[in-house]
Amino acid sequence: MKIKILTLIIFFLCADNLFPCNSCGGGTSDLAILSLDGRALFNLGFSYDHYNGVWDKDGLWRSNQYTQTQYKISLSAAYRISTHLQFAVSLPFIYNYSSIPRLKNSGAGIGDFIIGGRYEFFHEFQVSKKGGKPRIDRTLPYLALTFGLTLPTGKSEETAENDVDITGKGYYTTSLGISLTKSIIRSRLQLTTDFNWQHSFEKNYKSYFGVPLSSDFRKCPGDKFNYSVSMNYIFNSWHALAVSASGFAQSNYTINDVSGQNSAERTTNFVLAYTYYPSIPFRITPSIKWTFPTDNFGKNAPGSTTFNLNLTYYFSDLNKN
Amino acid sequence: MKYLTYFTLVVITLYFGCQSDTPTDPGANQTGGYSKIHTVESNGTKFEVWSSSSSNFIYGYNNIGFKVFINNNEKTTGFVKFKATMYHGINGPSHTVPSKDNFYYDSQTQLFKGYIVFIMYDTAAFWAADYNYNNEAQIDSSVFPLYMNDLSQIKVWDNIITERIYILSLVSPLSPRVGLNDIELMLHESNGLVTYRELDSAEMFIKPWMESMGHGSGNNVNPVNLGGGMYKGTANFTMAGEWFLYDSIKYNGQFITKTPPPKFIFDVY
Repeated sequence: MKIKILTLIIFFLCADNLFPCNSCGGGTSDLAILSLDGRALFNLGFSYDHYNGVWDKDGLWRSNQYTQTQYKISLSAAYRISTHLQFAVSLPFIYNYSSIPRLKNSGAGIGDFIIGGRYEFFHEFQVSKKGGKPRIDRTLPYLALTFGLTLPTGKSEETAENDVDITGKGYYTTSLGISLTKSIIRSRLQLTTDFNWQHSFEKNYKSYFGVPLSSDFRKCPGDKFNYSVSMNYIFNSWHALAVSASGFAQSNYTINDVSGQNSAERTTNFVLAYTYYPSIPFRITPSIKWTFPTDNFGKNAPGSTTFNLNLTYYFSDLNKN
Repeated sequence: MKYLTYFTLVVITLYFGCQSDTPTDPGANQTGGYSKIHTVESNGTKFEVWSSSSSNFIYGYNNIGFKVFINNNEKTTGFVKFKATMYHGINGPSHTVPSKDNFYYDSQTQLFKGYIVFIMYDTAAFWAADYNYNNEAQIDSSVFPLYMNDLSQIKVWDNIITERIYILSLVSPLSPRVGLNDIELMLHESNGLVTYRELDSAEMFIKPWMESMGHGSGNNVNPVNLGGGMYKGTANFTMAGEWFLYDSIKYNGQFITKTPPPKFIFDVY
C-alpha cells in the first residue's frame, strides 16, 4: 500500500506548470500514474492558481497589480495494459478571472485534452529468480519512458476575444521523457526525478483575438525541457508528505520562421504535497505550489501560487485480486 | 551664558537670513495644469512659456502655452507664432520642428495654447526660437535649453514614393500601465525638416506585441483622427514587461509606413 501512496505522490508532483497567464496559454493538465498493482484510477482535481507577477526578459520580477486567477477542474483517468505499459487521459475545465479595469472579468471553457502514457522498464522491489530461488531485487530503480500528446481542444488566442476566454494553447504538443524513482529507505523515503522534452508544432493563425488576419502569421513555440526532483516521505499507511522542486527551460519561439529575440523562458517552483489515505481505494491529496517572487527565479514567465486538491479512486489489478 | 547668547544669535541669523526677500505666490507659476518654464523679454515685450508636459522644454511632444505682456499689459486676443530652430553650431545646418501654426487664446487656461514636438536632441547643437504676437511684436533668436526625456518617443521615416518625411509623435501615455491605455499620437509630414504639415484623414492600425513572450492582445482600438494631426485609440497591455506598439499608417489609399512598421517601445508596469 505504501508503494501505491508513493506512486500517487509522484503523480501529483509531476504536474505540468499551470499559470493563469492566459496569453501564455492555459488548459494544460496532469496525467495520472498507476502503481504496478493498479488496473485503473479516476482522479478529480481542483486547483486555484493566483497569478503574482512575471519575470521579464531580463529576469527581473514585476509584481502584478491586479487580481488574476484561474480555477480548474480536471478529470483524469489511467489504465494499465500490462506490467510495462499504461495510458492516461486528462480533460480540464477552466475558469479565468481578472480584475483589470475596462476589460471582461471572467471567462470559462474546456481546456486542452491530454493523452499520454509510460513504458516502465523496471519496477522497484520485484521478485526474480536467481539459481532457481525467488528473491526480491533491491538494486533496480523504477524507470519509465514517458510520452504524451496535447490536443488543442481549448480556446486559444486565435479565437478568444479576451484574455480571460483563453483556455488552451492552440497548438499540438508532444512530449518524451524519463521518470526515475529510487527508494532510499524502503517504504519510507524515496527520491524521484522526472525529465521530459516537449515539442510543439507550428500553428498557422487565421485570426488573432478574433480579428481576421490578412497576412501570414505562423507561430511555433520553442522546445521545452521540464524537470522535477522530489523527495517523498511516508509516515505510515495513512499519511505521506512530499516536497518537490520543478521547473522548465524553453528556447526561443519563431514567428514566420524568424526567432523571437530574447524570448527564451525558464522558471523554478516548489511543491509541498500531503496525502491522506482514508480507505484502500481512495486518496485525498492537498498540495501547494509556489515560486519565489524575486529576480532571476525565472525569465519571460509568470509566477503564481497554486492550491490543489485531488481526489483519487483506485482500482486494484483484477488479475491479482 | 555667553555661549548660549552666541548660539541664539546664530540661530536667529540663520533663520531670518534664509527667508526670501519677497513673498512668493505658489499659484503664480501654475495655471490649469500648466507651469511656467521659460520667459523672454525685450523692449517692453514679454513672452512667458508654460507647459503641461514638463518643467522644461523636453525632447518629444510638448503641450505648451504662452502669456504675452506688452508694456506690462497682458494680451488675451489674437495669436502667437512660435518657431524653434536647432542649429548644429554657428553657421552650421539648421532644422525646425513641428509646432502649432498659430497659438490661440484659451480663456479657461488663460494661455495661447498649442504644441511643439522636438524631434531631435543633440548636446552639440543649440536651440533658438522666434516669438511673434499677432504680427505686432516679436522677439527673435532667443536661445533656450532643451532637455532630454527618456520616456518621449518620436518615429521619423521617409517614403520614396511620396517623397516625404513622416513624423509620428507619441503624445500620451509616456508610461503606460497594465490594461487598457488611451493612446494619443500626432502625425506630420515634411519635405525637408524645415516645414511641417499636420496630417489628418490617415488610417492607423496598431498592434501591441510582447516580443519576449511572443503574444499580442485583444480589445485594441485603432486610433482615429481628432483633427490637427492628432489621433486617439486604445492599446491593451495585458501584463507587465516590455511591449512594442506597432503602427501601420495608410494615407491617401496607400501605406506610408515601411515593413515592419514603426514601433514605440514601452516598459509597462
